[in-house]
Amino acid sequence: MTNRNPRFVTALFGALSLVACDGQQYVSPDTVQLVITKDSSSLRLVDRCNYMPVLLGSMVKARYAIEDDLKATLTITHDAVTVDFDGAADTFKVSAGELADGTQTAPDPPAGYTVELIPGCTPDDP
Amino acid sequence: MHIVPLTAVSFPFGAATNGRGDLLGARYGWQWVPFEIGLGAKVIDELYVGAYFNVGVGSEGSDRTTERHCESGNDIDDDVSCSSVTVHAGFEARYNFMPAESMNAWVGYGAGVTSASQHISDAGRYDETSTAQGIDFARLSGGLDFRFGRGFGMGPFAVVSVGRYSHQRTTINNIVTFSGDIDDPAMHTWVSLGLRMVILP
Repeated sequence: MTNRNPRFVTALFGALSLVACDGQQYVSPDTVQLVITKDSSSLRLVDRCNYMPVLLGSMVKARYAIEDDLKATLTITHDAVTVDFDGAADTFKVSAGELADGTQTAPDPPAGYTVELIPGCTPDDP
Repeated sequence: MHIVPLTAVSFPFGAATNGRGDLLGARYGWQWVPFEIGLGAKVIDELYVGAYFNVGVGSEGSDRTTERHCESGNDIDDDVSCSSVTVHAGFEARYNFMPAESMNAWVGYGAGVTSASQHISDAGRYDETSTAQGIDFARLSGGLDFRFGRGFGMGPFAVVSVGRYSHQRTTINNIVTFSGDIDDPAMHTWVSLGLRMVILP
């Protein structure tokens, strides 16, 4: 085992710590929360958080049973979020830019329900 | 058997899907193709029939959102990395115009399967992979081989692979978030230029 200059070793580790640990940056993908509330009871029937993909072409697709035969399909790409309801003609679509402005509420949800897309949440565990 | 060590660069053209702005070049950067393996035989002196398999590696495409995330981690003090990988495999036939000469021109046609993946990760906090798979309808190729000896040749070549992706799969943090058919597929082209060696031509 060789002896090394302690000042040199201290300086070396100090320099490495500055390079390696200061100001680390991460991907930090956006997240979006889908909340579907039954108006009559204020009960949240769906409350799920998902990542918005970073890569062009990536997709998150999930299907949620709300009540009886009412089901919602959530589709998230890196630039938009879409919510479709079985049998409904209207699609609730929000761009990433609109979502960045804050919570978006579906203008024409299924009767008796409120549908919201809320930016910023902690993604659900699988 | 043809072992085909080569070096080539491959450029994306056309659209990955018919979705707005979903160009192939927006998803995938140019690729470096370090090798190709070909297995086959000459049916006659002029005609080679066999299988091919090659892999290309490169960076992310030109999509701004993707680039913004990838470039947020270009400093030495973080671990954000982005990459793309392409794979082509199938069968092809090549016609050699002057198989017994020291210089031989050839053209080829093939078809097979193709796959392209993008990947972004940052030291284990976030990891996303998007893979498109489909068919190469036409792999059109041509080149010149210069034979230096009975068992060794080398020369430039070009390959145009025309295909369409039909299936898409996304994983985020190792969870499959989507796997299914592409609703609106489109035609795309990879154009490769390079230099190849042919052993036992």
